[in-house]
Amino acid sequence: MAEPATLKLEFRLAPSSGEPNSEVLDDLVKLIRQAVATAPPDSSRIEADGEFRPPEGEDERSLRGLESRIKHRIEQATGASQKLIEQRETLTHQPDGAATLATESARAAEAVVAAVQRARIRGMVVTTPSVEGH
Amino acid sequence: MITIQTIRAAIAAADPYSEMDRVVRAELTAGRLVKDVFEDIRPHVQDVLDTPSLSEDGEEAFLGTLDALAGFCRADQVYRNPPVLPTEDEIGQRPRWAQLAFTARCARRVLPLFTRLEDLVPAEKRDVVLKTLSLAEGAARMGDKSLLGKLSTQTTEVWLDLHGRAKHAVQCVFSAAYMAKYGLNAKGRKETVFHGLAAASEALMGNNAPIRRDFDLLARLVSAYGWTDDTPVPPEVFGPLWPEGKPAGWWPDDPESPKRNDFALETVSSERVTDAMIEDEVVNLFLAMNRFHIARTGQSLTVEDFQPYLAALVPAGV
Repeated sequence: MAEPATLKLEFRLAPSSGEPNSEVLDDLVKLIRQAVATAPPDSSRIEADGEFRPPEGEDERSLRGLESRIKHRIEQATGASQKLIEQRETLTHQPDGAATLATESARAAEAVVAAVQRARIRGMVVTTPSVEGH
Repeated sequence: MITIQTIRAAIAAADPYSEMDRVVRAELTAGRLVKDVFEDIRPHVQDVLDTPSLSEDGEEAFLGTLDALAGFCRADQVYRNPPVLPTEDEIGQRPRWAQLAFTARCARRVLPLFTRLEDLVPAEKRDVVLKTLSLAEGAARMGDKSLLGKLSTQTTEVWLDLHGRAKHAVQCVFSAAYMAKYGLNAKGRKETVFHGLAAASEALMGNNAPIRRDFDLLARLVSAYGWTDDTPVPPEVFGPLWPEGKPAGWWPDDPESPKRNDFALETVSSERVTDAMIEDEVVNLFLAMNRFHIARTGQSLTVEDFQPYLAALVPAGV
């Protein structure tokens, strides 16, 4: 029997700087859809089609707290991001850098699928709404 | 072929981990599949463990190698098949809709070799090929034989006018259409699928790595979830065509496809999921996507427009 959904979070992801790479963003969307399509059949049964409303009062304060904790932890990860960016920059100047980057990208892609499916197993369903014909 | 003597020599080496890895990789480099290497080693497990003077590291290296061959380890440590085309026997072991979805995936991968010829191929012929491929994908997605009657095998007429890699690309589409339209018996199916992926391989000039990767993914799913001839297989199971980035010189996406500056995500959770769990999972998901985005573009991601919603039936203050 499906569990009723109680909380929905909506957010957007965008490059923090520079020109957006539409193909890579689209690949991320496809990875999330792949994770949904290949998730273990019984990994999560959540009834997510119901109506949702914006939180009010104490609920709103509590959920804003959740939002700020998530944002804080993501900001803390900025240092790690910078290290990854620098490592990539170094790789691009090495003779076999392109192959190494391709391998790293493929592994990172698998990690995205695993992250979506891990969340699902723990009871949180992740989806990408269809937007502008995608 | 890996013998017991080879294994014993490897696990007695100064660095048994590297030596066992070298033995396995030599077999894979020679074109053998992971499952065949595993089957070489598996019968020797007891003999190896009974080896006098077997060190702790030697035992761990041996058992760790078996785990990595069987897939019981971290994803980045699993041994992968070499980039060889799947054989007809391997194809024949997969269910019907999985075979069709795989053939359509091969065709979708090489399609730009055909569609870029917009000045050479009349629009109506291009439409035949594109519609055929979409119908083949749709039939596999729905597991619906009734869609198959609409499939056209007129792609033959298109490829007759073509040469080289573009011709192979359309031949791959034709294989998907032919297999889907005529159903075929098991032998006919695997032969047709093999022709299709061989055409895709020609179109990719022998770069078989993505074809093998798609097939191995499909094989894992079939095995893990017990997919049968009745299980529909949507194209989404394969994910993006080039997660590692497109090959050098490959064509950009369809210029008519909408451009993304960002994308939206939704998470939905039930009452049993605590705030701490939601926080962990959202951050974990972000970090994974951020790593992918950096690997591909050199730019990090940021979160915008965070909006929480409660189920309408949850009373306020609960």
